[in-house]
Amino acid sequence: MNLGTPTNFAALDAVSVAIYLVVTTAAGVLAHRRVSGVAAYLVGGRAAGPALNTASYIGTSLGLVTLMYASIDAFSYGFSYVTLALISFLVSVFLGLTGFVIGPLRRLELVTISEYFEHRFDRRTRVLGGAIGALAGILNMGLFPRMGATFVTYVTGASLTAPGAATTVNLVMTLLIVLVVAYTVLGGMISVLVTDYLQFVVLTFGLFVGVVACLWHPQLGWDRIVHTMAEERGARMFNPVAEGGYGWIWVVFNAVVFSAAAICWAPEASRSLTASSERVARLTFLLAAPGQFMRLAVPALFAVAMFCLVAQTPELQAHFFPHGLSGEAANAEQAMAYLLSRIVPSGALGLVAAGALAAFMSTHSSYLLCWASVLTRDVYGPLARESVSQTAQIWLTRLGVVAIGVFLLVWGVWYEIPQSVWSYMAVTGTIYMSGATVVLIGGLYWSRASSAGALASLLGGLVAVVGLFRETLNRWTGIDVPSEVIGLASYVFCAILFVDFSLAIPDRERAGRPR
Amino acid sequence: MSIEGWVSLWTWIYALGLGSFLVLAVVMAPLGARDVRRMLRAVELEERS
Repeated sequence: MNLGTPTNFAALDAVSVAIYLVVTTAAGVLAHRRVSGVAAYLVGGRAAGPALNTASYIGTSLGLVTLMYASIDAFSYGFSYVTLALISFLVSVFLGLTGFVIGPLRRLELVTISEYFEHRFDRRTRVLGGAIGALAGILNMGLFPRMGATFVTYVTGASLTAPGAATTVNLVMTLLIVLVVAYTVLGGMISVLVTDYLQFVVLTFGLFVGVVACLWHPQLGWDRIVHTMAEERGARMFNPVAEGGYGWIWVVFNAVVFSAAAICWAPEASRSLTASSERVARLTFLLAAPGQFMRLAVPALFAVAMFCLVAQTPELQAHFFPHGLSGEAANAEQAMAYLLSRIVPSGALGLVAAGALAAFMSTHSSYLLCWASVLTRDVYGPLARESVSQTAQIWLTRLGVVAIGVFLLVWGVWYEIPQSVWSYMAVTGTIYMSGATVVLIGGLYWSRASSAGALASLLGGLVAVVGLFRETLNRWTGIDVPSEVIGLASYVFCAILFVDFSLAIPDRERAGRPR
Repeated sequence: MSIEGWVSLWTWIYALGLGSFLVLAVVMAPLGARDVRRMLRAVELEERS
Protein backbone atom coordinates (compact mmCIF):
# COMPACT_ATOMS: atom_id res chain seq x y z
CA MET A 1 0.00 0.00 0.00
CA ASN A 2 1.36 3.41 -0.92
CA LEU A 3 0.93 5.89 1.91
CA GLY A 4 2.25 9.01 0.22
CA THR A 5 5.82 10.21 0.78
CA PRO A 6 8.59 7.71 1.56
CA THR A 7 10.42 7.67 4.91
CA ASN A 8 13.22 10.20 5.47
CA PHE A 9 15.40 7.47 6.98
CA ALA A 10 18.70 7.53 5.06
CA ALA A 11 22.19 6.03 5.26
CA LEU A 12 23.36 8.76 7.67
CA ASP A 13 20.53 7.84 10.06
CA ALA A 14 21.47 4.18 9.86
CA VAL A 15 25.05 5.12 10.80
CA SER A 16 23.81 7.10 13.86
CA VAL A 17 21.75 4.12 15.00
CA ALA A 18 24.67 1.73 14.47
CA ILE A 19 27.05 3.97 16.48
CA TYR A 20 24.52 4.18 19.29
CA LEU A 21 24.06 0.40 19.40
CA VAL A 22 27.82 -0.28 19.41
CA VAL A 23 28.57 2.33 22.14
CA THR A 24 25.74 1.24 24.44
CA THR A 25 26.40 -2.47 24.10
CA ALA A 26 30.14 -1.94 24.61
CA ALA A 27 29.52 0.15 27.76
CA GLY A 28 27.18 -2.51 29.11
CA VAL A 29 29.60 -5.34 28.37
CA LEU A 30 32.64 -3.50 29.81
CA ALA A 31 30.76 -2.74 33.04
CA HIS A 32 30.65 -6.47 33.85
CA ARG A 33 34.26 -6.30 35.09
CA ARG A 34 32.97 -4.50 38.19
CA VAL A 35 30.63 -7.30 39.21
CA SER A 36 31.93 -9.18 42.23
CA GLY A 37 28.91 -10.19 44.32
CA VAL A 38 25.16 -10.49 44.40
CA ALA A 39 24.61 -6.94 45.70
CA ALA A 40 26.70 -5.51 42.84
CA TYR A 41 25.00 -7.73 40.25
CA LEU A 42 21.39 -7.24 41.40
CA VAL A 43 21.25 -3.75 42.94
CA GLY A 44 24.45 -2.11 41.68
CA GLY A 45 26.03 -2.28 45.14
CA ARG A 46 23.28 0.13 46.35
CA ALA A 47 25.62 2.89 45.22
CA ALA A 48 23.52 4.83 42.70
CA GLY A 49 23.39 8.58 43.39
CA PRO A 50 20.24 10.66 42.82
CA ALA A 51 20.94 11.75 39.23
CA LEU A 52 21.92 8.26 38.04
CA ASN A 53 19.04 6.63 39.88
CA THR A 54 16.59 9.16 38.44
CA ALA A 55 17.92 8.68 34.91
CA SER A 56 17.65 4.92 35.32
CA TYR A 57 14.12 5.15 36.75
CA ILE A 58 12.99 7.29 33.81
CA GLY A 59 14.81 5.03 31.35
CA THR A 60 13.14 1.94 32.82
CA SER A 61 9.63 3.38 32.90
CA LEU A 62 9.96 4.92 29.44
CA GLY A 63 10.16 1.99 27.06
CA LEU A 64 9.52 1.92 23.35
CA VAL A 65 6.40 -0.03 24.28
CA THR A 66 5.36 2.97 26.45
CA LEU A 67 5.72 5.25 23.45
CA MET A 68 3.72 2.81 21.36
CA TYR A 69 0.80 2.16 23.71
CA ALA A 70 0.50 5.85 24.58
CA SER A 71 0.46 6.84 20.90
CA ILE A 72 -2.04 4.08 20.03
CA ASP A 73 -4.56 5.26 22.65
CA ALA A 74 -3.95 8.97 22.07
CA PHE A 75 -4.54 8.48 18.32
CA SER A 76 -8.19 7.77 19.20
CA TYR A 77 -8.61 9.76 22.44
CA GLY A 78 -6.16 12.66 22.04
CA PHE A 79 -5.24 14.62 25.15
CA SER A 80 -7.76 12.71 27.25
CA TYR A 81 -5.12 9.98 27.35
CA VAL A 82 -2.61 12.47 28.77
CA THR A 83 -4.67 12.41 31.98
CA LEU A 84 -2.53 9.34 32.72
CA ALA A 85 0.61 11.45 32.38
CA LEU A 86 -0.76 13.84 35.00
CA ILE A 87 -1.69 10.96 37.31
CA SER A 88 1.77 9.46 36.89
CA PHE A 89 3.37 12.84 37.66
CA LEU A 90 1.29 13.34 40.81
CA VAL A 91 1.98 9.82 42.10
CA SER A 92 5.72 10.32 41.69
CA VAL A 93 5.61 13.69 43.52
CA PHE A 94 3.52 12.18 46.34
CA LEU A 95 5.94 9.27 46.86
CA GLY A 96 8.96 11.56 46.72
CA LEU A 97 7.53 14.00 49.27
CA THR A 98 6.11 11.47 51.72
CA GLY A 99 8.38 8.43 51.26
CA PHE A 100 5.21 6.32 51.44
CA VAL A 101 6.26 2.64 51.13
CA ILE A 102 9.56 3.43 49.35
CA GLY A 103 11.16 4.89 52.50
CA PRO A 104 10.56 1.86 54.75
CA LEU A 105 11.56 -0.53 51.92
CA ARG A 106 14.91 1.20 51.39
CA ARG A 107 15.63 1.19 55.13
CA LEU A 108 15.35 -2.61 55.16
CA GLU A 109 18.20 -2.94 52.58
CA LEU A 110 16.40 -5.55 50.51
CA VAL A 111 17.48 -6.86 47.10
CA THR A 112 13.97 -7.59 45.78
CA ILE A 113 10.49 -6.40 46.78
CA SER A 114 9.34 -9.98 47.47
CA GLU A 115 11.98 -10.30 50.20
CA TYR A 116 9.82 -7.98 52.24
CA PHE A 117 7.03 -10.54 52.17
CA GLU A 118 9.22 -13.03 54.05
CA HIS A 119 10.57 -10.32 56.33
CA ARG A 120 7.05 -9.30 57.39
CA PHE A 121 5.02 -12.49 56.84
CA ASP A 122 6.60 -15.85 55.99
CA ARG A 123 8.56 -17.76 53.37
CA ARG A 124 5.44 -19.05 51.58
CA THR A 125 4.28 -15.47 50.98
CA ARG A 126 7.65 -14.58 49.50
CA VAL A 127 7.65 -17.57 47.14
CA LEU A 128 4.05 -16.99 46.06
CA GLY A 129 4.61 -13.25 45.63
CA GLY A 130 7.77 -13.88 43.62
CA ALA A 131 6.16 -16.52 41.39
CA ILE A 132 3.04 -14.45 40.63
CA GLY A 133 5.16 -11.33 40.16
CA ALA A 134 7.44 -13.08 37.67
CA LEU A 135 4.47 -14.61 35.81
CA ALA A 136 2.71 -11.25 35.49
CA GLY A 137 5.93 -9.41 34.70
CA ILE A 138 7.03 -11.78 31.95
CA LEU A 139 3.53 -11.84 30.41
CA ASN A 140 3.56 -8.04 30.61
CA MET A 141 6.80 -7.99 28.63
CA GLY A 142 5.21 -10.17 25.96
CA LEU A 143 4.26 -7.26 23.76
CA PHE A 144 7.48 -5.27 24.17
CA PRO A 145 9.44 -6.81 21.27
CA ARG A 146 6.64 -6.73 18.71
CA MET A 147 5.74 -3.15 19.53
CA GLY A 148 9.38 -2.14 19.32
CA ALA A 149 10.03 -3.94 16.10
CA THR A 150 6.89 -2.50 14.51
CA PHE A 151 8.13 0.99 15.30
CA VAL A 152 11.61 0.33 13.94
CA THR A 153 10.38 -1.22 10.71
CA TYR A 154 8.05 1.70 10.00
CA VAL A 155 10.56 4.40 10.86
CA THR A 156 13.24 2.85 8.68
CA GLY A 157 10.84 2.17 5.83
CA ALA A 158 10.89 -1.64 6.06
CA SER A 159 7.11 -1.38 6.18
CA LEU A 160 4.97 -4.30 7.30
CA THR A 161 3.06 -4.00 4.06
CA ALA A 162 6.14 -4.78 1.97
CA PRO A 163 6.87 -8.38 0.85
CA GLY A 164 8.83 -10.28 3.50
CA ALA A 165 8.24 -7.53 6.07
CA ALA A 166 7.15 -10.01 8.73
CA THR A 167 10.61 -11.62 8.51
CA THR A 168 12.22 -8.20 8.86
CA VAL A 169 10.21 -7.55 12.01
CA ASN A 170 11.29 -10.86 13.52
CA LEU A 171 14.94 -10.27 12.63
CA VAL A 172 14.92 -6.76 14.13
CA MET A 173 13.26 -8.13 17.25
CA THR A 174 15.82 -10.90 17.58
CA LEU A 175 18.83 -8.62 17.11
CA LEU A 176 17.66 -6.09 19.71
CA ILE A 177 16.86 -8.73 22.29
CA VAL A 178 20.17 -10.54 21.78
CA LEU A 179 22.10 -7.28 22.39
CA VAL A 180 20.16 -6.46 25.56
CA VAL A 181 20.41 -10.01 26.89
CA ALA A 182 24.18 -10.00 26.23
CA TYR A 183 25.02 -6.99 28.36
CA THR A 184 22.43 -7.73 31.04
CA VAL A 185 23.74 -11.28 31.47
CA LEU A 186 27.31 -10.08 31.78
CA GLY A 187 27.03 -6.97 33.93
CA GLY A 188 23.70 -7.22 35.77
CA MET A 189 22.52 -4.04 37.48
CA ILE A 190 25.86 -2.28 37.01
CA SER A 191 25.45 -2.63 33.23
CA VAL A 192 21.76 -1.74 33.48
CA LEU A 193 22.49 1.49 35.37
CA VAL A 194 25.38 2.52 33.08
CA THR A 195 23.43 1.83 29.89
CA ASP A 196 20.25 3.36 31.36
CA TYR A 197 22.15 6.59 31.88
CA LEU A 198 23.41 6.64 28.27
CA GLN A 199 19.94 5.71 27.06
CA PHE A 200 18.32 8.47 29.15
CA VAL A 201 20.52 11.06 27.42
CA VAL A 202 19.91 9.66 23.93
CA LEU A 203 16.16 9.13 24.30
CA THR A 204 15.65 12.59 25.81
CA PHE A 205 17.47 14.18 22.91
CA GLY A 206 15.65 12.02 20.36
CA LEU A 207 12.21 12.78 21.79
CA PHE A 208 12.86 16.52 21.86
CA VAL A 209 13.93 16.42 18.22
CA GLY A 210 10.55 14.81 17.50
CA VAL A 211 8.66 17.41 19.57
CA VAL A 212 10.41 20.30 17.80
CA ALA A 213 9.60 18.73 14.42
CA CYS A 214 5.91 18.46 15.40
CA LEU A 215 5.60 22.01 16.66
CA TRP A 216 7.49 23.72 13.83
CA HIS A 217 6.48 21.60 10.83
CA PRO A 218 4.60 23.72 8.22
CA GLN A 219 1.68 21.23 8.11
CA LEU A 220 1.44 20.90 11.89
CA GLY A 221 2.14 23.30 14.78
CA TRP A 222 0.34 23.36 18.15
CA ASP A 223 -2.66 25.51 17.11
CA ARG A 224 -3.42 23.50 14.01
CA ILE A 225 -3.07 20.18 15.87
CA VAL A 226 -5.47 21.06 18.70
CA HIS A 227 -8.03 22.76 16.47
CA THR A 228 -8.12 19.90 13.97
CA MET A 229 -8.84 17.49 16.82
CA ALA A 230 -11.50 19.72 18.32
CA GLU A 231 -13.27 20.12 14.98
CA GLU A 232 -13.11 16.49 13.85
CA ARG A 233 -13.55 14.50 17.08
CA GLY A 234 -14.88 16.96 19.66
CA ALA A 235 -14.65 17.18 23.44
CA ARG A 236 -13.77 13.51 24.05
CA MET A 237 -10.27 14.27 22.76
CA PHE A 238 -9.70 16.72 25.63
CA ASN A 239 -11.98 15.63 28.46
CA PRO A 240 -11.58 11.97 29.57
CA VAL A 241 -15.08 11.84 31.06
CA ALA A 242 -16.88 13.51 28.12
CA GLU A 243 -19.52 11.49 26.26
CA GLY A 244 -17.86 8.85 24.08
CA GLY A 245 -14.61 9.22 26.05
CA TYR A 246 -12.91 6.96 28.58
CA GLY A 247 -15.21 7.56 31.58
CA TRP A 248 -14.60 7.82 35.33
CA ILE A 249 -13.94 4.12 35.94
CA TRP A 250 -11.04 4.24 33.52
CA VAL A 251 -9.59 7.30 35.28
CA VAL A 252 -9.92 5.71 38.75
CA PHE A 253 -8.52 2.35 37.59
CA ASN A 254 -5.49 4.00 36.03
CA ALA A 255 -4.87 6.16 39.10
CA VAL A 256 -4.76 2.91 41.09
CA VAL A 257 -2.53 1.17 38.51
CA PHE A 258 0.04 3.98 38.43
CA SER A 259 0.14 4.22 42.22
CA ALA A 260 0.52 0.44 42.53
CA ALA A 261 3.22 0.26 39.84
CA ALA A 262 5.33 2.93 41.50
CA ILE A 263 5.42 1.11 44.84
CA CYS A 264 5.41 -2.58 43.94
CA TRP A 265 6.01 -3.17 40.21
CA ALA A 266 9.47 -4.60 40.69
CA PRO A 267 11.43 -3.10 37.75
CA GLU A 268 10.38 0.43 38.68
CA ALA A 269 9.92 0.12 42.42
CA SER A 270 13.35 -1.50 42.73
CA ARG A 271 14.84 1.93 42.11
CA SER A 272 14.13 2.57 45.78
CA LEU A 273 16.40 -0.43 46.49
CA THR A 274 19.30 0.63 44.22
CA ALA A 275 19.43 4.12 45.77
CA SER A 276 22.42 4.87 48.00
CA SER A 277 20.16 6.02 50.87
CA GLU A 278 16.51 6.58 51.80
CA ARG A 279 16.90 10.28 51.04
CA VAL A 280 18.18 9.42 47.54
CA ALA A 281 15.29 6.98 47.04
CA ARG A 282 12.75 9.71 47.80
CA LEU A 283 14.66 12.28 45.75
CA THR A 284 14.63 9.84 42.81
CA PHE A 285 10.83 9.72 42.74
CA LEU A 286 10.53 13.48 43.17
CA LEU A 287 13.02 14.31 40.42
CA ALA A 288 11.56 11.71 38.08
CA ALA A 289 8.08 13.28 38.19
CA PRO A 290 8.56 15.41 35.02
CA GLY A 291 9.88 12.28 33.30
CA GLN A 292 6.74 10.41 34.32
CA PHE A 293 4.70 13.12 32.62
CA MET A 294 6.88 13.28 29.54
CA ARG A 295 6.94 9.51 28.88
CA LEU A 296 3.20 9.54 28.08
CA ALA A 297 2.64 13.14 27.01
CA VAL A 298 5.26 13.16 24.23
CA PRO A 299 4.02 10.04 22.37
CA ALA A 300 0.48 11.36 22.80
CA LEU A 301 1.60 14.57 21.11
CA PHE A 302 3.06 12.54 18.24
CA ALA A 303 -0.27 10.72 17.89
CA VAL A 304 -2.41 13.86 17.79
CA ALA A 305 0.05 15.45 15.36
CA MET A 306 -0.36 12.38 13.17
CA PHE A 307 -4.13 12.81 13.37
CA CYS A 308 -3.68 16.37 12.09
CA LEU A 309 -1.58 15.06 9.18
CA VAL A 310 -4.15 12.36 8.43
CA ALA A 311 -6.92 14.97 8.32
CA GLN A 312 -5.01 16.75 5.51
CA THR A 313 -4.22 13.64 3.42
CA PRO A 314 -6.98 11.51 1.83
CA GLU A 315 -4.69 8.45 1.33
CA LEU A 316 -3.81 8.46 5.01
CA GLN A 317 -7.44 8.90 5.97
CA ALA A 318 -8.40 5.76 4.06
CA HIS A 319 -5.66 3.81 5.84
CA PHE A 320 -6.02 5.14 9.40
CA PHE A 321 -9.67 6.22 9.59
CA PRO A 322 -11.54 4.15 6.96
CA HIS A 323 -14.93 5.06 8.51
CA GLY A 324 -14.27 8.80 8.60
CA LEU A 325 -12.27 11.01 10.96
CA SER A 326 -14.89 10.83 13.71
CA GLY A 327 -14.98 7.03 13.47
CA GLU A 328 -12.79 4.29 14.91
CA ALA A 329 -9.05 4.39 14.15
CA ALA A 330 -7.33 1.53 12.28
CA ASN A 331 -3.61 0.62 12.16
CA ALA A 332 -2.98 2.95 15.10
CA GLU A 333 0.27 1.17 15.97
CA GLN A 334 1.79 2.54 12.75
CA ALA A 335 0.81 6.16 13.38
CA MET A 336 3.71 7.48 15.48
CA ALA A 337 6.43 5.82 13.42
CA TYR A 338 4.82 7.04 10.19
CA LEU A 339 4.68 10.62 11.47
CA LEU A 340 8.26 10.77 12.74
CA SER A 341 9.69 9.15 9.61
CA ARG A 342 8.02 11.83 7.46
CA ILE A 343 8.41 15.06 9.45
CA VAL A 344 11.87 14.64 11.01
CA PRO A 345 14.54 15.40 8.40
CA SER A 346 17.24 12.91 7.40
CA GLY A 347 20.18 13.09 9.76
CA ALA A 348 18.01 14.04 12.74
CA LEU A 349 15.78 11.01 12.17
CA GLY A 350 18.69 8.73 13.11
CA LEU A 351 18.80 10.45 16.53
CA VAL A 352 15.07 9.89 16.99
CA ALA A 353 15.41 6.22 16.00
CA ALA A 354 18.40 5.84 18.35
CA GLY A 355 16.30 7.44 21.11
CA ALA A 356 13.51 4.95 20.47
CA LEU A 357 15.98 2.05 20.57
CA ALA A 358 17.40 3.48 23.78
CA ALA A 359 13.91 3.41 25.27
CA PHE A 360 13.49 -0.18 24.08
CA MET A 361 16.79 -1.41 25.49
CA SER A 362 16.71 0.37 28.85
CA THR A 363 13.29 -1.06 29.70
CA HIS A 364 14.17 -4.56 28.53
CA SER A 365 17.40 -4.73 30.49
CA SER A 366 15.76 -3.64 33.75
CA TYR A 367 12.80 -5.97 33.29
CA LEU A 368 14.93 -8.95 32.31
CA LEU A 369 17.25 -8.57 35.28
CA CYS A 370 14.47 -7.83 37.69
CA TRP A 371 12.24 -10.80 36.89
CA ALA A 372 15.18 -13.19 36.58
CA SER A 373 16.44 -12.10 40.00
CA VAL A 374 12.96 -12.53 41.48
CA LEU A 375 12.83 -16.10 40.12
CA THR A 376 16.29 -16.86 41.51
CA ARG A 377 16.08 -15.20 44.93
CA ASP A 378 12.39 -15.36 45.73
CA VAL A 379 11.26 -18.61 44.12
CA TYR A 380 14.23 -20.94 43.62
CA GLY A 381 16.29 -19.75 46.62
CA PRO A 382 13.67 -20.26 49.36
CA LEU A 383 12.58 -23.59 47.86
CA ALA A 384 16.13 -25.01 47.56
CA ARG A 385 17.09 -27.37 50.36
CA GLU A 386 20.60 -25.94 50.70
CA SER A 387 21.57 -22.29 50.76
CA VAL A 388 22.45 -20.99 47.29
CA SER A 389 25.93 -19.46 47.03
CA GLN A 390 26.44 -15.95 45.65
CA THR A 391 28.12 -17.31 42.52
CA ALA A 392 25.24 -19.74 41.95
CA GLN A 393 22.71 -16.92 42.41
CA ILE A 394 24.44 -14.84 39.76
CA TRP A 395 24.60 -17.73 37.30
CA LEU A 396 20.98 -18.70 37.91
CA THR A 397 19.92 -15.09 37.32
CA ARG A 398 21.91 -15.07 34.08
CA LEU A 399 20.17 -18.26 33.02
CA GLY A 400 16.82 -16.65 33.87
CA VAL A 401 17.65 -13.59 31.74
CA VAL A 402 18.42 -15.82 28.74
CA ALA A 403 15.28 -17.93 29.28
CA ILE A 404 13.03 -14.84 29.46
CA GLY A 405 14.73 -13.47 26.33
CA VAL A 406 13.89 -16.70 24.46
CA PHE A 407 10.30 -16.56 25.73
CA LEU A 408 9.96 -12.98 24.47
CA LEU A 409 11.03 -14.00 20.99
CA VAL A 410 8.52 -16.87 20.87
CA TRP A 411 5.62 -14.93 22.45
CA GLY A 412 6.36 -11.83 20.39
CA VAL A 413 6.10 -13.80 17.15
CA TRP A 414 2.70 -15.42 17.63
CA TYR A 415 0.74 -13.27 20.06
CA GLU A 416 -1.77 -11.08 18.25
CA ILE A 417 -1.57 -7.38 19.13
CA PRO A 418 -4.73 -6.42 21.07
CA GLN A 419 -6.84 -3.36 20.23
CA SER A 420 -5.61 -1.42 23.26
CA VAL A 421 -2.05 -2.34 24.13
CA TRP A 422 -2.31 -0.25 27.29
CA SER A 423 -5.26 -2.36 28.52
CA TYR A 424 -3.19 -5.53 27.98
CA MET A 425 -0.32 -4.02 29.97
CA ALA A 426 -2.60 -2.84 32.77
CA VAL A 427 -4.40 -6.19 33.03
CA THR A 428 -1.23 -8.33 33.07
CA GLY A 429 0.29 -5.98 35.64
CA THR A 430 -2.84 -6.19 37.76
CA ILE A 431 -2.44 -9.98 38.12
CA TYR A 432 0.45 -9.24 40.49
CA MET A 433 -0.05 -5.63 41.54
CA SER A 434 -3.60 -5.96 42.84
CA GLY A 435 -2.52 -8.50 45.46
CA ALA A 436 1.02 -7.27 46.09
CA THR A 437 0.07 -3.61 46.60
CA VAL A 438 -2.46 -4.53 49.25
CA VAL A 439 0.03 -6.87 50.97
CA LEU A 440 2.83 -4.30 50.84
CA ILE A 441 0.81 -1.38 52.20
CA GLY A 442 -1.03 -3.57 54.70
CA GLY A 443 2.21 -5.17 55.89
CA LEU A 444 3.92 -1.82 56.41
CA TYR A 445 1.09 0.16 57.90
CA TRP A 446 -1.45 -2.25 59.47
CA SER A 447 -0.33 -4.13 62.57
CA ARG A 448 -3.04 -6.83 62.29
CA ALA A 449 -2.02 -7.92 58.79
CA SER A 450 -1.33 -11.68 58.78
CA SER A 451 0.32 -14.27 56.54
CA ALA A 452 -3.06 -15.84 55.74
CA GLY A 453 -4.36 -12.46 54.58
CA ALA A 454 -1.22 -11.93 52.48
CA LEU A 455 -1.50 -15.34 50.79
CA ALA A 456 -5.22 -14.88 50.10
CA SER A 457 -4.66 -11.44 48.64
CA LEU A 458 -1.80 -12.56 46.34
CA LEU A 459 -3.88 -15.51 45.10
CA GLY A 460 -6.90 -13.24 44.68
CA GLY A 461 -4.96 -11.14 42.15
CA LEU A 462 -4.98 -14.12 39.78
CA VAL A 463 -8.64 -13.36 38.96
CA ALA A 464 -7.31 -10.53 36.79
CA VAL A 465 -6.18 -13.23 34.30
CA VAL A 466 -9.83 -13.13 33.17
CA GLY A 467 -9.02 -9.74 31.66
CA LEU A 468 -6.68 -11.39 29.11
CA PHE A 469 -9.61 -13.38 27.69
CA ARG A 470 -12.10 -10.53 27.99
CA GLU A 471 -12.99 -10.32 24.30
CA THR A 472 -13.66 -14.09 24.08
CA LEU A 473 -15.75 -14.03 27.26
CA ASN A 474 -17.69 -11.03 26.03
CA ARG A 475 -18.50 -12.89 22.81
CA TRP A 476 -19.67 -15.98 24.75
CA THR A 477 -21.75 -14.15 27.33
CA GLY A 478 -22.94 -11.27 25.16
CA ILE A 479 -22.06 -8.86 28.00
CA ASP A 480 -19.39 -6.24 27.33
CA VAL A 481 -17.35 -5.87 30.52
CA PRO A 482 -14.58 -3.27 30.04
CA SER A 483 -11.07 -4.33 31.09
CA GLU A 484 -10.84 -1.44 33.57
CA VAL A 485 -13.87 -2.80 35.44
CA ILE A 486 -12.21 -6.22 35.71
CA GLY A 487 -8.97 -4.57 36.84
CA LEU A 488 -10.57 -2.34 39.45
CA ALA A 489 -12.67 -5.23 40.77
CA SER A 490 -9.43 -7.24 41.23
CA TYR A 491 -7.95 -4.59 43.55
CA VAL A 492 -11.15 -4.38 45.61
CA PHE A 493 -11.38 -8.19 45.75
CA CYS A 494 -7.77 -8.51 46.98
CA ALA A 495 -8.26 -5.84 49.65
CA ILE A 496 -11.36 -7.62 50.97
CA LEU A 497 -9.55 -10.98 51.03
CA PHE A 498 -6.56 -9.44 52.80
CA VAL A 499 -8.60 -7.82 55.56
CA ASP A 500 -10.99 -10.75 56.05
CA PHE A 501 -8.29 -13.44 56.20
CA SER A 502 -6.00 -11.32 58.39
CA LEU A 503 -8.78 -10.84 60.93
CA ALA A 504 -10.00 -14.44 60.71
CA ILE A 505 -6.54 -16.11 60.85
CA PRO A 506 -4.07 -13.89 62.74
CA ASP A 507 -0.37 -14.76 62.97
CA ARG A 508 0.67 -16.59 66.13
CA GLU A 509 4.14 -15.14 66.76
CA ARG A 510 3.24 -11.52 66.30
CA ALA A 511 5.36 -10.14 69.15
CA GLY A 512 8.73 -11.15 67.76
CA ARG A 513 8.01 -10.42 64.10
CA PRO A 514 9.95 -7.54 62.57
CA ARG A 515 7.91 -4.81 60.91
CA MET B 1 -15.80 23.65 30.64
CA SER B 2 -15.91 24.75 27.00
CA ILE B 3 -13.67 23.18 24.40
CA GLU B 4 -11.61 26.40 24.26
CA GLY B 5 -11.09 26.05 28.01
CA TRP B 6 -9.83 22.49 27.55
CA VAL B 7 -7.49 23.57 24.75
CA SER B 8 -6.08 26.30 26.97
CA LEU B 9 -5.69 23.87 29.90
CA TRP B 10 -3.77 21.30 27.86
CA THR B 11 -1.62 24.03 26.33
CA TRP B 12 -0.50 25.12 29.81
CA ILE B 13 -0.03 21.54 31.02
CA TYR B 14 2.20 20.72 28.04
CA ALA B 15 4.21 23.94 28.36
CA LEU B 16 4.90 23.32 32.06
CA GLY B 17 5.42 19.56 31.72
CA LEU B 18 7.82 19.64 28.79
CA GLY B 19 9.60 22.73 30.14
CA SER B 20 10.25 21.13 33.54
CA PHE B 21 11.49 17.94 31.89
CA LEU B 22 13.88 19.90 29.69
CA VAL B 23 15.35 21.61 32.77
CA LEU B 24 15.60 18.24 34.54
CA ALA B 25 17.39 16.64 31.58
CA VAL B 26 19.89 19.48 31.27
CA VAL B 27 20.74 19.21 34.97
CA MET B 28 20.65 15.41 35.18
CA ALA B 29 22.93 14.68 32.22
CA PRO B 30 26.22 15.94 33.77
CA LEU B 31 25.27 14.91 37.31
CA GLY B 32 24.35 11.42 36.08
CA ALA B 33 27.81 11.03 34.53
CA ARG B 34 29.34 11.98 37.89
CA ASP B 35 27.14 9.42 39.66
CA VAL B 36 28.20 6.68 37.21
CA ARG B 37 31.86 7.33 38.05
CA ARG B 38 31.11 7.33 41.79
CA MET B 39 29.11 4.12 41.57
CA LEU B 40 31.85 2.29 39.66
CA ARG B 41 34.44 3.53 42.18
CA ALA B 42 32.26 2.45 45.14
CA VAL B 43 31.74 -1.04 43.70
CA GLU B 44 35.49 -1.34 43.02
CA LEU B 45 36.36 -0.30 46.59
CA GLU B 46 33.87 -2.79 47.98
CA GLU B 47 35.44 -5.53 45.88
CA ARG B 48 38.94 -4.72 47.18
CA SER B 49 37.81 -4.60 50.80
